[in-house]
Amino acid sequence: MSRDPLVCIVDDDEAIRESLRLLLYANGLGSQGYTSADAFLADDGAREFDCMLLDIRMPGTDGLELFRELRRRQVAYPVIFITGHGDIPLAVSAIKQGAWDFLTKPFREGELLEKVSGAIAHYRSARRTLLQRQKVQQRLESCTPRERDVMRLLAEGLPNKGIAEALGISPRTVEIHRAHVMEKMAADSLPALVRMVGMLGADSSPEAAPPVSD
Amino acid sequence: MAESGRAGSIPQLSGDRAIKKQHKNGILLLNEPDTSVREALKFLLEGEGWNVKTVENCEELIESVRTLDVVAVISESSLPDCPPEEVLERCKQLGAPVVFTGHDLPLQGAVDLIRQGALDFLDKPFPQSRLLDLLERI
Repeated sequence: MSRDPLVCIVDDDEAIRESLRLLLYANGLGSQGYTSADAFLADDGAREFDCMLLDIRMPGTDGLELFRELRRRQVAYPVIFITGHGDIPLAVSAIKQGAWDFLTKPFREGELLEKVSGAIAHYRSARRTLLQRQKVQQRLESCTPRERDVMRLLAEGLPNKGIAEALGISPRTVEIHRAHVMEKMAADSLPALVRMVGMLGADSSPEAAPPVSD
Repeated sequence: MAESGRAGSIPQLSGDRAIKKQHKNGILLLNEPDTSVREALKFLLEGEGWNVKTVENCEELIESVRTLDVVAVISESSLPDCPPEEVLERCKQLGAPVVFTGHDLPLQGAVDLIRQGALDFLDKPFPQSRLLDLLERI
């Protein structure tokens, strides 16, 4: 991901928003603040964020409601809740629903930075993997069913002769399919091809590919 | 009418569940040093048809997970000689889901345990129904 990391801050307390903004800025992290959940949701052009800092208690739509809405919209970046209370059942529930982490006020600056940068690093890494997998998936779909058969058997380590026998075709035909596979998958070596097939899961057919998740 | 007690008081069987009471397979391991809480939980869980084995310490807990058909582990998280992170790690390796109970753990501790894969964290006192519902869904 080439753009600079961007943190979203949703908190009705202006002093908190501002101090978070400055702290992040001083550590090379840009941010965008919103005064309420509704303000965030209303911002349709909300830029791509790497992480969200979300106050759990806000007037109107509170943090948990916004979080649930984000889940509904399948927003993938990590959400770190900010809470002033030691409300354990609430925190546990939020984490079980997929929140990334919690910060309790008053928070240590070091802890905040650690959690935010950790969340961003995780998210970026997960995104990279996801995009790679999507690219491989697209290349797979450009292969014919027979090419996919050959690819699967190649990835299992069968030599051309073994593939020919398994599929009931001639070795010469296998060679042709193999060449097409390597080209369509943009694999410059057999190990590279094996890695790609591994990304897609045990079965190399698109229908069996694992669902892409965040 | 169903009455959900708090852990530590005499539990009542909920009306609905009394009908479904049946002998469940597998064992629940219970690591709870407070005698009255332990007895109350054991009574509650056995009343729901669970087989409950209580353990005295960490070693016994891990050994039991290793050797027995354990459906889930219920373990108190505030024990200095039984760090929950270690319990969780071992149980994950052995494929046993863990529910932690706690009375003294700071919020971050509870959060971290969930993030590391604990099934749930029940801050004491907790409603019995919460534990029972959780176990039903394993």
